[in-house]
Amino acid sequence: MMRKMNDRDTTRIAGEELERELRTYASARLSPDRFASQRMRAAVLDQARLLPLEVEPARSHRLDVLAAFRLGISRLSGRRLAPVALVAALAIGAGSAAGVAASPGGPLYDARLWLETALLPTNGVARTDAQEAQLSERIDELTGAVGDGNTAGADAAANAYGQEVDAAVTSAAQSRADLLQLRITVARHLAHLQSLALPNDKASANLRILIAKAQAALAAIDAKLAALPTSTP
Amino acid sequence: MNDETIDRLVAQAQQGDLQAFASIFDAYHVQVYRFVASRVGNPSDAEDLTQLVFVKALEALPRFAARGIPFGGWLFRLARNTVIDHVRTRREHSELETVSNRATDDVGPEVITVLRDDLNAVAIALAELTEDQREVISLRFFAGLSAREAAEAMGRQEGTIRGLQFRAIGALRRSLGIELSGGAEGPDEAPAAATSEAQA
Repeated sequence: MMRKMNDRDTTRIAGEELERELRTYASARLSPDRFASQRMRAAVLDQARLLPLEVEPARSHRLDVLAAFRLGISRLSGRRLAPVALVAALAIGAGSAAGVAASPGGPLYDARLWLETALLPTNGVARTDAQEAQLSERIDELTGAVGDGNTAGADAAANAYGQEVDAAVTSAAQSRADLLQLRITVARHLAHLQSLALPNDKASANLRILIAKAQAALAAIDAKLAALPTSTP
Repeated sequence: MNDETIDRLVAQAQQGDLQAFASIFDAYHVQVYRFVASRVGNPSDAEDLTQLVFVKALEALPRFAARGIPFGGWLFRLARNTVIDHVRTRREHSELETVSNRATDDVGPEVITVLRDDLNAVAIALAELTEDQREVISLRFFAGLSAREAAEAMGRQEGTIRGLQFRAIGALRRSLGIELSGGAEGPDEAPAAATSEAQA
């Protein structure tokens, strides 16, 4: 990573007063506010999800579990750590077989969903971001399952999406900013699902169910937004 | 976040780990935005271009191989090229002052007036620098890059960067009426070898 100049370096190079002037200028006039950061992050990660990932499918799922384990470990209390470590260790030990088993419709899929949910941050923007990532992962899974004609997998991903979107709406209910951010994400998912659905296609039944769930989630978000006082951040 | 952590995240992102890429975004987006905002002036353009930089980085990431190139330098070279493309296609780009009208929260009106005057003075002083000098100040002080990373981003020698920086700091001090303080470093921060390219 870039080596950020520490205070001593910048002072050494520019002198205390000029260094302070430049730092104040950058902070006041060149820094994104929280909402700009959120917008940029959401847009970039949406693009990232649309780009093809050159990863073996089984390995991809295994990486998801490991990444979730790494990311979540610092947030977990000791009481919660033990079961998470157990599941992660199981996934590591079983190797690619666990990856396949943890894919939608596989025997470990529910365990993987439980792990993901257990590792979610407890509240705030971080939780909303993580829940949106979780929802987008379900959309990716559903898209893949529909493409493969894997009806059981599509069912599993669609059911998981329905539960997770309800949980996300509930988590974001007290913050107008979080609700708006979630609304943008779900609306994108809805547009994506509608573009996938084909008439008289067996797999499209899953899509239609999920489209209905996404529409219901948007309606729930709109209702919560309308109920919030306008001054809520 | 240290170099090893970034290297690991880059390797993971190259393998398709979206969360690793999200962490890279989190680590760099403010610096990239600052650099872009300092070059294009308009906050809305800065936001769009910052997004574009990271999308380009995502697309180019599989082809990024360290080989001694710092990731920050590589990323900011993408940012610099993105800004250059933008400026080429939008000649009406605004000057630094456009960014300057953002409200300053949490302080009273008298303080805001003084602060705004100070910030305007810095904006004017920056506008008086040469293009190269301003770019070096943006990379070094607003984006927080090392001289080596700034050199990589600008496609110049590290010594050249130090030379440009030295003269830019001198010009800023003169414009702002800042005396050379005890902590500040003199010309050894700008090796003689550096100045020839910068002056060319």
